Amino acid sequence: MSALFSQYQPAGFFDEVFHAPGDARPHYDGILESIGSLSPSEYGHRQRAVDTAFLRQGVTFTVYGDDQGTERIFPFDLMPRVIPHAEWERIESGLIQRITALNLFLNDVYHGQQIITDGVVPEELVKSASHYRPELRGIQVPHGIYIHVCGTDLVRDADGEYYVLEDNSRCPSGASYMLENRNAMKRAFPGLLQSLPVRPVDAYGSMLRETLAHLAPREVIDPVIVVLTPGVFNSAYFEHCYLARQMGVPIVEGRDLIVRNSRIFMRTTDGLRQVHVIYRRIDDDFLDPHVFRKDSLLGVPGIVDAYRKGNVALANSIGTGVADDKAVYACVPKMIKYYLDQEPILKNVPTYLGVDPKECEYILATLENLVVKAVNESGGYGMLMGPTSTKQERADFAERIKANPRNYIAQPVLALSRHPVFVDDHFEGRHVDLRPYVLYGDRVRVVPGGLTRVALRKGSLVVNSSQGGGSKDTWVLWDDQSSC
Amino acid sequence: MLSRVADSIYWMARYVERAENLSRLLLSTQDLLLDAGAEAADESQFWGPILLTTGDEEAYADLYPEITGESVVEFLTVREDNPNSIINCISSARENARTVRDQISNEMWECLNGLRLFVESADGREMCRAQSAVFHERVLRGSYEFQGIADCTTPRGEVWHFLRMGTCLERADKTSRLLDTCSALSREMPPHPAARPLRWSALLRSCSAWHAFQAHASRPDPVKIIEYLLLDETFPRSVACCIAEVHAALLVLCGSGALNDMPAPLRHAGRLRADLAYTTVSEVLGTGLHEVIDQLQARLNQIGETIFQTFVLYPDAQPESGATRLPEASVQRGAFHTWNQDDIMAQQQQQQQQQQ
Amino acid sequence: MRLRVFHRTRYTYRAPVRENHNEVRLRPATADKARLEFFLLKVNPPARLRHFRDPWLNYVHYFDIVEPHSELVIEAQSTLRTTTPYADGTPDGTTFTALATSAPDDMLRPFLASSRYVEITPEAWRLALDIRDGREDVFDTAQAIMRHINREWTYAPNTTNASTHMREVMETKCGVCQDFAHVMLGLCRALGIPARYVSGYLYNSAGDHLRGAQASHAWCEVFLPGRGWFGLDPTNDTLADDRHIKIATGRDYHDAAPVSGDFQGPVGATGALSVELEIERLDR
Repeated sequence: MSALFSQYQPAGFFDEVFHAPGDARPHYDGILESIGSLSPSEYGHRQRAVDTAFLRQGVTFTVYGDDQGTERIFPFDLMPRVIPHAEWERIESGLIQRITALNLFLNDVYHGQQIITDGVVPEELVKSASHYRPELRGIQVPHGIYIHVCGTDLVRDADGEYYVLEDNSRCPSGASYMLENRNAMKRAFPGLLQSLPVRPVDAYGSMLRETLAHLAPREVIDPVIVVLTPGVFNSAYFEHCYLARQMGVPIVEGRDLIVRNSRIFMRTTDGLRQVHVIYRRIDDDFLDPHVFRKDSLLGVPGIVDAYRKGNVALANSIGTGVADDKAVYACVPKMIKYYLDQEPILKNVPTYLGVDPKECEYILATLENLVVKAVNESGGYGMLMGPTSTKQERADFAERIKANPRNYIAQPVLALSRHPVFVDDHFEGRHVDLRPYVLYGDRVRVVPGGLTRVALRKGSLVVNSSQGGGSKDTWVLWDDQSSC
Repeated sequence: MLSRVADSIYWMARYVERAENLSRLLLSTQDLLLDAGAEAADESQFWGPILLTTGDEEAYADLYPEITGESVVEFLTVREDNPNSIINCISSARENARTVRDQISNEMWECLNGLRLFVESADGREMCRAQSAVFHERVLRGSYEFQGIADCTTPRGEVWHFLRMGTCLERADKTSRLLDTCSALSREMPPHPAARPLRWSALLRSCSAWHAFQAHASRPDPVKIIEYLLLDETFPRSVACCIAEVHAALLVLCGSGALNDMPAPLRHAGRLRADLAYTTVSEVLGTGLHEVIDQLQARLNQIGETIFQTFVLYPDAQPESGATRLPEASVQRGAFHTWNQDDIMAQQQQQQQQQQ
Repeated sequence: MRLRVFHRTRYTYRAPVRENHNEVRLRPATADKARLEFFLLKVNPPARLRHFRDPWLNYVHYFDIVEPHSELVIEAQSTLRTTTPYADGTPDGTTFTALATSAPDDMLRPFLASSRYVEITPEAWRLALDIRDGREDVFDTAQAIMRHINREWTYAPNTTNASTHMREVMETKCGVCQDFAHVMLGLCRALGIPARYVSGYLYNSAGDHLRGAQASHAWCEVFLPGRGWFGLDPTNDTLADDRHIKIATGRDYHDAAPVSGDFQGPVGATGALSVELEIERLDR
C-alpha cells in the first residue's frame, strides 16, 4: 500500500473505496494502482496544477459576505468516485421513476388535483407550500412536463443504501462543474481514463439543448433558445455562461428581453428577434414584475402572460418549487404509489413533519438526535444539526418550530458514506453525496455521472460549496467485468 | 447578436487598448527621461503632458500635491480610485469579457483573465512598485497576446467587427491625444540637437511607430511625423488607418453603403475617413494642430455615440413603460458599468440557486 | 437479449371527453424466460394507477380520468432480458396420440374452444386436416400451419381492423399480425392443439425485416403436454424466440388487447391514435 493510503481508516462509516483498512472494493483496483504509484509530492503537484488551471479559466463561483464578491474556485479533489454499472442502473431506474412521478404530481396539482381529492396528499400541505403558484393552475405547459432539469441529491447511509435527500426541482446548479471536473481529470490522469470503461458525460450540453428544443411550439422548426441569467453578480454566473456555450445558444439577462404582443423578443444588433424557449436560472419570484415581485429588476414584464398563451416555453416551469418543499418531499413515496402503482426504487430519508402535531412533539422531544430543516431552504441554510448543536441553538430552534411548525421537518442524522480525499500529503475519509442530473424532454434521461460533493471539513456532514464543500469527478462504468 | 453583448465586446476591446496605450506611454516617457539626462531636472515637464493625454489632470490634482514621476506612474497604473488606471482598465475589460464569455473564444478569455489575475496579484503589485517598466511590458505583452489570439480565434462576424471598432476608436483617440501633447512644441528642429528631437521620437515610440517611421522617412521631421500619425492610411496606429478600419467594419455591420437612409455611424465614419484622406498636412498646420485635434476628438466621440445608439439602444426596443433609461455617462464608460449596480447586484445574488 | 422498450400511445380527441376509463396490458410478462429489470407506466393527464391480474395472469393496469381532457398519453417503458425457448432445437416428439390422451385441465380448456374472434368452423377444420397431411408430430404440424398461413395469406395493413373476426379473414385471405394469429389459433384448435393468442413487441435487428415491429405485434403459442407453451409467429414464418417480447396472452385479441376503454364525450369525439414504439438492444 502506497504512502498515500497507509494511514487511511475507513472506521465506522460506509467507505466508498475500502471495505476494511487496506482492502479496497474491486471497482477501485485500477485507480488505486495508478494513484498509489505516485509519491505524495507528485500527487500534490498534480492537484495544484488543476487548481491553477481552474483559476486561470475562471471556473469559479462567487462568495458574498464583504462588499466585493470574491471569486473562488470550487475546491476539487482529484481522486474520482466510481460507481459500478449495476449500482448505477438502479440509481437511474429510481431517478426516472421519481422524476416521472414528480411531474405527474405537478401536472395534477396545477390541474384537476386528483391526488388531493383522493386524499393521498393533504390539500393544506400543497396550498401552504411557499412555492405553490395558484396563478399557474389551468395553464397547459408544453407536453405536460414541469421539471425539465432536475439535480437530485442522493446520499448513502451506513449500510451503503442510497437515499434521496432533496429533489432540487427549481434551478439545480453544478452541471458545469461535473463537465469541468471531467476535463480536469482528462488532463491530470489521461492514461487512467483511457484504460477504464468510464461513461462520458460531455453529451450533457447537447442533451440539454435537445431537451429545451423539444419544448418549443410545434410549428417552430428552428426554435431560438436562450439561457436567462440573473447576471454576472450571481454566484452561478460561470455555470450559466458555460452551459449556454456548451449548447451554442445566447445567454441573456432580463433587460435583453422585451415583450411585444404576448411574444418574447431579444434585442439584437439586428433588431428584435423572437425567443421560443427560455432556460431560466432566475427564481419564480423575480421572473415577472407584473405577476410576482413588483420590484424585480431581473425579470421580464409580461413573460408569464406570454407563457400562459403558449408563445414561449420555460424550463423549468413556474411553480415546480412545490415539489421541493421538504414537507411535500415526505409524500413522494405515496405519489409514486399513486401515479405509477409501484414502490419507490430509491428510498426517502424518514421525515417527521412539524405540521403533524404528533410528529412535532417527537421532533421537539428528540432535537439533539435529529437534523431539522426549514422546508423552503436549500444549500444547507436554515438547518439545525442536532448532535453537534449547543443547548442554546436547540432552544432557539424549538421556539421557531413551535411558532411555525409547517415550516420545519426533521430527519434522523444519516451516517453519510465517506470517500478518501487528499489532505496535505495523504488521504483521509470525508463525507460525500451525489448529485446526478436528470433531463426530461421527450423522455427522462439521466446523465451517467454527476457531481460528487465532499464535505472538506473533517467530520462535517455539510457538502454545500457555500459552506466549505468541494467536489469530485464521478465515474460511472460501462460494465462491471473489467474492474476499475 | 444581442445588443448588450455587442456593447460589452466593444468596451472590452476599448479597455484592453486603453491599458496598452497607457503602458506604452509610461514606458516611453521613462525612456525619454533617461535619454534627456540633465534636462530632466524638471520632471513635471515630462509627466505633466501625460496627464493631459489621459484627460485626468483634475482627478490627479485632487490626490497629489505635485507632479512627480513616481506618483504619476502610481496614479495611472494601480490607483483603484482612478477609473482609468491600468489595473481598472484591465479589470473592466475582464468584467466585460465575463459577461460575454459565451461569445468569445476560451483562449481570449483565459488570456484576459490571466492578465487580470497577474495585475491584481501581490507579485504584480510588487513588480509595479519595484520595476514599473517590467510591469508595463507585461501589460503590453498581455494586450498583444490578447489581440493576436482574438485575430486567430474570432470568426469574422459581428463579434469581430465590434471588437475591431472598439480597438480602433480607442487607438485613434489615444494617438490624437498624444499628437496634441506635441502641438505646443516647435515644429522646427532646434539648431542644437540636444533635447528637442527626443520629444518627437518619444512620441513615435509612444505609438510604437519608431521603426515604421524610420523606414518611411529618413529624418525625424516633425511635420512628417504629424502627417504620418494623423493622415497615413498604411500605419496601423495612425488616426486615418484606424478610421478606415472602423468604416470598413461599419460597412459590413450596416449591410450596405447605400446613400439613402445611411445609418448615422456609417455616415460619420465615412465622412471622417474622406476628410482625412483629402486633407494635407499643411492644411492641418494652417488651421492649427490643436484645433484640428479638438475637432477630431469631437467627431470620434460622435461616432462612438451613434454606434451605441444604432446597435445597442434601439429606439423601438425600449421598455414599454419607459421606466429604465440608460444613464448618459454610460456612453463614455463602457457597458459593464451601465446599470444601477447596487440594487441589481443584490437581486442577482439573492437568487436561490440550488447550489453546490 | 437485453432490450429497452419505449411505447407511447397518444389519443387526440376532437372534443374534450371525460370519465375516461381504461384498462391497459402493457407490462411485459415475466412468467417465463423474460426477466423484467425495469418497468414504468405513465398516464397523462395524471390519474391514480392500479392493477389486477386477469384470469390469464396478465397484469392489467387501470385508471379513470374524470376531468375533461382532449388528449390521453400512455407511455410504457421497460428494460428486460429475453431468451429463446428454442435454444436446444424445436420441441419435437409430442404426438397427437399423446396430446389426445393427456386430459386437458381447466386452464387449457379455453384454448381449445371457439372464442370471441376465433371460431372452429368446418372450413377451418378441413383446411387444418389438409395441412396436417397425416403428420403425427404436434409441433411439426403447428409449424406446417404457420408456413401455410404465411404463404397463402397476404399481409395487407388497413384491410382489417381490431375487431375483424377470423371467419372474415378465412375468406379474404389478407390481414395483419392479429388476423394471422387468429387464423392460426382456429386451425390449431380444430386439430385439438391448445393454442393461445400472444400480444407483444418484436425486435428487428439490423439485418432483419420482420413485419409488425413498428407497433404492437401478435403471434400464437401452442401447448405441448409436459413441456409447456411454444411460440410461433405466422406473420413472419418464424419461431417466436428472443426477438419476441411477450406482454399478454389470452384466448384471442379481446383478452390481450394493449389498451381498451371507454369515455363520455360528444358524438364524434373519438379522435386520432398515434403510436411510437422504440426497441433498442442494450447488450452486444
